[in-house]
Amino acid sequence: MAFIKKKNNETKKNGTAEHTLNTPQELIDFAKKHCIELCPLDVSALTKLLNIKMRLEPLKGDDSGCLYKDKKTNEWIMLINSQHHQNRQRFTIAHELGHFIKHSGQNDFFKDEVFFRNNESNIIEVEANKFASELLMPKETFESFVQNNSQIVSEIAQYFGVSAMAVRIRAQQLGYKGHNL
Amino acid sequence: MNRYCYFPIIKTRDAELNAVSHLPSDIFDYILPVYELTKSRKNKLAPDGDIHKRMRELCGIHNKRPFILDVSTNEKYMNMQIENLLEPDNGFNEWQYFLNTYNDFNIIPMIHIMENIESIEVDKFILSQLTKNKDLAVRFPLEIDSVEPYVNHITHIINGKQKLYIILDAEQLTERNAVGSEGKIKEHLAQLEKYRSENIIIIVAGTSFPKSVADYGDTEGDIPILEEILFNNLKRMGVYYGDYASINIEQIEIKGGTFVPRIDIPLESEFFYKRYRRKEGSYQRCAQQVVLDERYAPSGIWPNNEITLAKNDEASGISPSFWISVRMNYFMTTRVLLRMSK
Repeated sequence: MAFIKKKNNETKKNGTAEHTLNTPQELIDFAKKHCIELCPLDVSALTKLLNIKMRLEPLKGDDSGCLYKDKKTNEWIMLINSQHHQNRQRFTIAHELGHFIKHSGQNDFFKDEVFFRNNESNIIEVEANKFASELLMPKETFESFVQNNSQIVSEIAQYFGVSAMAVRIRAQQLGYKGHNL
Repeated sequence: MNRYCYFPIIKTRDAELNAVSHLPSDIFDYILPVYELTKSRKNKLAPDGDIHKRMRELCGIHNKRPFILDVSTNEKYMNMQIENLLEPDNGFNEWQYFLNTYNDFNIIPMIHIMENIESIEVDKFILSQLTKNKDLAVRFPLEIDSVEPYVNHITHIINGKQKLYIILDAEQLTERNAVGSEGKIKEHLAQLEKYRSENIIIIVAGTSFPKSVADYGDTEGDIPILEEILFNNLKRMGVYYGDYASINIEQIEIKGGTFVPRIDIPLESEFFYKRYRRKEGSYQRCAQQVVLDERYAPSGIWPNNEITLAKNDEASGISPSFWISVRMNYFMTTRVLLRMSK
């Protein structure tokens, strides 16, 4: 029954906090300050906190998502493919957050298809991928988990709520070698 | 002129959609369902239940037939997508956007009401739908002291341009609260008298279907249909009949386990049921006992066929969910026939 008793102002307008956020670590600190779950990072709550409107809906073909500024309302809108696996959606959200934090000053439309392509040469896409990896799998937490809990890729992936492919790429970035870590 | 005589409030779960999909066309023509959009069943790809999957199913069943669309605010059936649809910002912009996505279908949107009667967001939403020549619906729980100020405000904006379906929702009816609910509805109806017009359709809805039949008998029993009685007491006041299509308000989707097989047959103001544990004959025995009951009057509709199949140990489904679909379909068909006969 759609009878809304109170307008939920809980996450409303955090001023222009996003302008002071530049790195994945600063975004994680921001999330921590607002009591957002950190592991796995609740990227949906973080998106809301940044006043980005997120819509999960079926997108064409291999489209993962996009981020754009609505010209009418001036709001930032993030579209995420609702037909993708939740882990893939999480990476897409983190990737779009990367665009929002790092590139929204230069551009107001970002469209994303398949990530992790070997031949990715677009610098802002490379940056957004790296941002997403670091946001979802922070270096210290990643190393600590590998050292103290498990070196099996599927278990690491489950812990961080990402795909096995995302774990392998993050592991490479951090200098790990081998099939498992 | 309103051609609909029956307004069931239906959650978009598997059992419910299956029931609606089996309605005969000549019965469906008189039904304007009010769907409470719920998230879809969890699966590996969509662990949080994509609502667009539900919409595709719903639109596939309805094609061009109109339906009223509301969203479920029951936490069990909500997800982030549904929460978004309830965000009031910019005239319920997310709700508008969602409705626009399904513009090819004949959807009558529910107005999300806010505590603040003169909310600018509600006004903006209504105006946005009027520009699309959309009829609108609004649903009030009985706990609201007075619905009149809301209706006054909404009808003022609509200004007779489109139809407005007003649903007075008594929700779960019990022997204990039925009289109180009827009194409250009468108060609301008296207040709404001055708004009566061809374009204002007032519906009274509720359900008395119990969560469990434990109080009515082990192998057989009768369950009263209080919503039917409520309607019969109010119909002189120019209201239309609504209900929850024989679903308990708190009913959760049953996933098997220790349920006792049961077949429910709707009569005018009560159900009778037959109920036998799996080792005592299960659905086959339920069906056999139903057929032997002199109150059972088959008319060749889908539930009758399913009961015949079950009687012959050829049941199409042996899950509680399947037999809920059968009951719902049977119940909805009988409600239309009852309305048409009077």
